[in-house]
Amino acid sequence: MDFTELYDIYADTVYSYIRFRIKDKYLAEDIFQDTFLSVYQKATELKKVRSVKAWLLKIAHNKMVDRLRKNKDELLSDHPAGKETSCMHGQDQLIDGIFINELLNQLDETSREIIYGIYAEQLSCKDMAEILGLPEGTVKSRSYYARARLREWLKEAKDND
Amino acid sequence: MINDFKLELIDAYINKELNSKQKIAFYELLKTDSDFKMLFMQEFELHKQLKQLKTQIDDATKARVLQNIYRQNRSQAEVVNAVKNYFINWSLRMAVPSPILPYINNNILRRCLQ
Repeated sequence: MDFTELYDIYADTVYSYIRFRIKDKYLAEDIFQDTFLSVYQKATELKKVRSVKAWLLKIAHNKMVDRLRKNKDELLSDHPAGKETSCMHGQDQLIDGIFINELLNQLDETSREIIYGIYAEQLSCKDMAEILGLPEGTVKSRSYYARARLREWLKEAKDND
Repeated sequence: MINDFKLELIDAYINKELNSKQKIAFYELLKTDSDFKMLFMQEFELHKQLKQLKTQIDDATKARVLQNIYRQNRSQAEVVNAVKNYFINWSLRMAVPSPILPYINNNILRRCLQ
């Protein structure tokens, strides 16, 4: 797979992952570019990686952490549900998106990122452990409790309707 | 208490990672285990809602970033070559009277300089 092909396939995945955490659109684009610049320079490593998606998101994650050290305020996005070119369409989905966003904001940052990876990107706990640089057991237990809380909140919300 | 196996099975089903035999076992479990069925419905809803949080990069930004990456990654050899050519052309202009300059074979001079 050459670089352009890789970029075409994964640009949305990487951008969406960054936007999930970064509220500033321009900073997100900057980190996005930085990420793919590193990918271009590390292209030889690609043959050795187990999961291309996890490898790309790990690079993106590290770039975000670097920026976090510089300016914490720019991170921790209230996800732009329904804004930009979100995949959501229609009023009901917008309301659902805002609702789910509120639920996510009640989780800590790492759990939120794990939840995003598992649900939105269909990644495994092993992938998320690789991306976040955490032991797989830690990711598993955090995802377990975060998912349980989400289900509980979802159930409460449905009962209240 | 929900075990990891059930969650992993649901994830695998939703992510379309189960083979035919595993799917049959999955449907059987749905029929016979009401807790599993409830868990599946909740997880299905969460998968559906969280997928909607994904955003897309617009085409113009995507194209611009790609161009920037290529520009920034011009190989070092290209840069060295550009500097070398600039030096050769500058030396030629300084050493040779301008009316004769077009008749000088660039390649011969380049070899001499190298």
